[in-house]
Amino acid sequence: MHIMEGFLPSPWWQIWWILALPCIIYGFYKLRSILKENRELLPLLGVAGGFIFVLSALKLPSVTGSCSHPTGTALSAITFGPWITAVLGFIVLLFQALFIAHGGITTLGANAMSMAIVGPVVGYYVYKGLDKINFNFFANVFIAAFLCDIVTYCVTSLELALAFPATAGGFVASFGAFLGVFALTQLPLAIIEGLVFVVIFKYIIMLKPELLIKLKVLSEEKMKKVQGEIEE
Amino acid sequence: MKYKLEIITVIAIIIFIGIFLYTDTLVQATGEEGWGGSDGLGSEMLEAQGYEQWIDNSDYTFTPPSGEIESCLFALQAVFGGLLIGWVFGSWYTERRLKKNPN
Repeated sequence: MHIMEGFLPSPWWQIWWILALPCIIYGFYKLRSILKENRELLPLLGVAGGFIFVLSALKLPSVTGSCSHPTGTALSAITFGPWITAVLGFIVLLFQALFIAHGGITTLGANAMSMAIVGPVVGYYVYKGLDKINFNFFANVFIAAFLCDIVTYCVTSLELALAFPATAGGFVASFGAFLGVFALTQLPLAIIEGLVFVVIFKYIIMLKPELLIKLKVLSEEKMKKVQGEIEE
Repeated sequence: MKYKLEIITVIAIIIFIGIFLYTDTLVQATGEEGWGGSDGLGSEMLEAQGYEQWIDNSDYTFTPPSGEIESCLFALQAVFGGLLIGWVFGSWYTERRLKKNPN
């Protein structure tokens, strides 16, 4: 999903920076206040950030004959919400832009928008919506993680299509072409990522269920039900 | 079943690897070099349209001079993430075990 350095012309890279920056600043503010209230959450934050680091370093082969990487933002998005995820994702993308030449400083705004902001926002609100109608917890985590991943790549396609509308067919044709490269490759990876996060949530529930209740990921009654399901 | 979720995930990963091995035979048969990054493919599409990159990472920092160095940096990235995850899960596990069985 990295748009390579120099591949977004003006004014697009500035536009994405301007849109991404307030989200990241708001995320910093939220991060500070949540950690001030609750030092216990620091290890979970470390784990959430750790998964973004690990999964976004894994380039996996996919059905289209090219490689792509998962985003790993789901744990952070579901537990801490999309704004704190924006900060974590931004740090990972900055590291990759400065040291590994994946993405760059000018395209960082656009890359942060796709991986650290829009993907997690969609995943988070879908999770919350399905949780309200009492959807099965693990199925819900799978859907949210799947969306965090695939939406990221759809946004990347959108960003490139807006900057480079095709001469024949314009924006729509261009969007379709980029979706073919990014989203199609991503589909199997997003399914695997969804399943991996389901297992991770299972272990967190086995070890530290109180953190998930504190962060309102699950209500106390629902937690009891889910714990029952695991032990069966 | 206690390990239902793990089993589903492992089966999905095995299918994923199977698909890779099958696709790889097709890619090898074409004789072209496959398995490039989709990031690069997107950029190649733009270059094919005549777009020119206007700034490069090496203009202000650093581009890994070889594939080995790049994979070293990627491995380091994953190591730091993995260390953090392992350490936290390990301490949660110990904490829980001590609570259940204080000796």
